[in-house]
Amino acid sequence: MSRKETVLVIDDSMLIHNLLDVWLRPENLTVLHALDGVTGMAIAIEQQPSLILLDLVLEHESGYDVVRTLMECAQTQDIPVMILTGAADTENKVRCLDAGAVDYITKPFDPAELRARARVGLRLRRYQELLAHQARIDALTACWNRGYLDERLSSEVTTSWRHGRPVAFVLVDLDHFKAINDSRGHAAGDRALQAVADQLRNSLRAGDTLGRLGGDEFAIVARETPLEGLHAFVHRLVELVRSVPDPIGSGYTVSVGGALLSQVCASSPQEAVQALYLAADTALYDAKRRGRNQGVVYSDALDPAAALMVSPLPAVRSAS
Amino acid sequence: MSTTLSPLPSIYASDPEMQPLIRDFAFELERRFAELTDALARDDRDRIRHVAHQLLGAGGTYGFAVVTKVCRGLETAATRPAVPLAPHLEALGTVVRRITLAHAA
Repeated sequence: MSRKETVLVIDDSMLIHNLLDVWLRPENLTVLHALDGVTGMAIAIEQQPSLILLDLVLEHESGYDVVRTLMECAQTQDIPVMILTGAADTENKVRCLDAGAVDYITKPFDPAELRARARVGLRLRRYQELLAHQARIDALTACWNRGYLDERLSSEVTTSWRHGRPVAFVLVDLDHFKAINDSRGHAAGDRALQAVADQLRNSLRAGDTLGRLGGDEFAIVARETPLEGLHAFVHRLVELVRSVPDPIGSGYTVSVGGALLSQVCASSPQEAVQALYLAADTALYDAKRRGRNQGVVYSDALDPAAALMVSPLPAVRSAS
Repeated sequence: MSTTLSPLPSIYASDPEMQPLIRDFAFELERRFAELTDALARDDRDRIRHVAHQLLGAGGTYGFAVVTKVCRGLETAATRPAVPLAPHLEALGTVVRRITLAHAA
C-alpha cells in the first residue's frame, strides 16, 4: 500500500496557503504549511515531505537562503524544492536552480499547471527513492546488500554503544553451496540462495536487518537481543532452514555464528563493528568445524585466530 | 460628478470551490489596502514594497490579473525613493472597490 504523499508549502502569504490547499486537493496529498523558512526547515526535517513549494521572497529571508539551508542539511537535501516566484527575476531563479531547486513556477500561476508541476516534482522524488532502494538491494535474493547491511550495523552499534542496548550480529552460511552449484547447476544454486533468504526473512522481528554479504553468506543485525535470546535465535535459524522444501535434493542446511556487542572489546563503535564481524565469524567457523548444520554463539573459549586463517576479516564501511 | 464603478469578478468566480476563497481574498485585499494607505502616510516604502509583492503574487492567482499588474507597478515604484506612490495606490483603490462590489459587498 502506498503512503499518502506530503507537500510542504513555505510562503509568507496565507492567501497562497489557502489557495494551494484547495488546488492541490485533487492530487490526494497531505499539505503542510509554514509561513517562514525557519518553521519550514523544522517541518521538513520532522515530516520528510515528498516535495517543498517555496516562495522566493519571504518576509524575513530570501527563498534562496532557504534552498541552500535545505540542501546543506543531510535530512532534507534529497527533497525536491520547487520555487514559487512572483518576480520575473531570472537571476534569482537561476541562483535557486543552481543551489538545488528542481523547478520554479511563476505567480500568478494556473491551478492545472501547478498540479502538473507538483506531479513532476513528486515523480522525481519517487524515482530518487526507488533508485536509493535498489542501490541497497541484492538483486538475486531481494535481501539488503552488503553496503546497506554495513550501514545498518554501524548505525545500530553506534546507538547501542551510547544507550547500552543489546545488539547481536549473526552470520549465516549455506552449507555445501559449492556442491549444489557443481552437481545441480548455478540455477539450482540461485534457487537455494533465494529459498534460504526467504526463510531467514521470515525469522526476523521488526527492526532486524537481513543482508547478503555475497556468495553463500548472509548476515543479520538483530536489535534488542540478549545472550539467551541469541542462543535461541541461532538455533531457530538452523531449524527453519532445515524445513525449506528442496524438490530435487535432500534439503538445505546452514551454519550460523552469532555474537553480541557486549562480548567484544573495542574502544569505539567503529572498532566494535570490526570486532563483531570477527566474533560472529569465529562462532561460524566453530559451527562448521563441528560438522555444519548448527548454530554457535561466540564465547571467550573460541579462538578468533582460527576463523581468521580461513576467512580474513572483511572490510567494513562505516555509516556516514 | 461621480463615476459608477463596475464590479470586477474573478475569472474563477463560477467555480463553487473557489467562491469562499475569493470572498476571503476580497476581504483580505481591503485590509491590505488599508495597511498600504497607512504605510504611505508613514512613507514606509519597505512595507509597501513587501505588501505589494505579496498581492501581486496572490492577485492573479485568485483570478484578478489587474491586481498583479497594479501591484507590480507599486512594488517597482516603492523601490525608487523619488517616485510618488499615491497614483499607484489610487489605482489599486479603484480595483479593490470593484472587487469588493463583485465579491465582498
